[in-house]
Amino acid sequence: MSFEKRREIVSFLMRAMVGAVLIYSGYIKISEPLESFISSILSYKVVGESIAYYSALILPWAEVYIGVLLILGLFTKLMTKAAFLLFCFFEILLLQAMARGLEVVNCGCFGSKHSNPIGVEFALNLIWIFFVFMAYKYSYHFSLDKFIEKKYNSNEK
Amino acid sequence: MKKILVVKIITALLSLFLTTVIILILNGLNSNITDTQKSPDYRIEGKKNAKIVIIEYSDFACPACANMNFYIKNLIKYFPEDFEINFKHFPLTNIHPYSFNAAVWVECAGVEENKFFEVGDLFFKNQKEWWNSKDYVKLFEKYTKEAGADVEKIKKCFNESKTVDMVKKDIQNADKMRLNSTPTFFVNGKIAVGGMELVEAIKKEKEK
Repeated sequence: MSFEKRREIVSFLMRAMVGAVLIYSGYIKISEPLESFISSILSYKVVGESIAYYSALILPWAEVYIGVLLILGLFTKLMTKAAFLLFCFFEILLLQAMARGLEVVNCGCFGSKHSNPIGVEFALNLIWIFFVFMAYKYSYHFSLDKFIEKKYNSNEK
Repeated sequence: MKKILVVKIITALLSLFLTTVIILILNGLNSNITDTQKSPDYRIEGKKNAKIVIIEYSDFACPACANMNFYIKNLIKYFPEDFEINFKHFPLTNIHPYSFNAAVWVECAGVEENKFFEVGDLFFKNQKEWWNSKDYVKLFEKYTKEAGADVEKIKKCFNESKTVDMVKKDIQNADKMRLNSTPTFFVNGKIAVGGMELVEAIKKEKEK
């Protein structure tokens, strides 16, 4: 198997993994009380209560939806960009919390029952960002995008 | 090109719709869980056998539980005849390292001194001070003294792990029901996860 082919497979697995992580973290938050995620958001001391409320309402579903589309490989370029921005946003939040020495009881990353220290989450997010980059660059061949494009392009011909 | 985009959009919308349905069904499955088993007397507040019986699974180190503890105190204060609150332990030790010990300690305060809520309320109130402190035992002693309970007696009970099994029993119950967050309530047997659902469930029961 050629290097390119192996790289495509690995990139696809990376994309699927990031998708699974997003679905898992989103689902956990959806199934938990809204206020536990709100209190996690507020503990970063960046936004007020009303923004925290709407973020807690929207963010978990956004994570799940991006995750699903990433796994399926639909709008792959767009979704990898969205995931990249999401992880960068989390990194900024975590970094400012570390820099300010904030006492973040629960990072809110995987709900209230499954939470890592913010340093660990920061490192993990760096890995996800790398995975997303690889998926953006090389995972097109294993995607519904390619399947649909190939099918309808050949039909047109 | 336009056709491809339309197909992609339709496929994406269908898959997202399916995902939403699956998630809502999975969450809906939890609503069939019930718990009507009462706590020991020293862990019950309000009027016994009141119209609305609430079972509360809580963690002394959880911020949302501390907020809800304040809310519940007010419920009992303003509607003393309407509610019976049963406290149950569900310490989330993977994120709150000393919450199990806190539960064991407060349980000792209930068993030994009948001061479960006096000590427990101070644990909630001072949560930020002890939740991640290695000196938590000293802080527990401080709160116990403040609550007017016999520190030595409770410390002895704690060191002998007398109440560990009682706390573990609650955790096992919660795990059996696959509860995954605190605070989780059962209002006349119906599950309410978090404060917002609790308020809604109380409203419904009051209207009956």
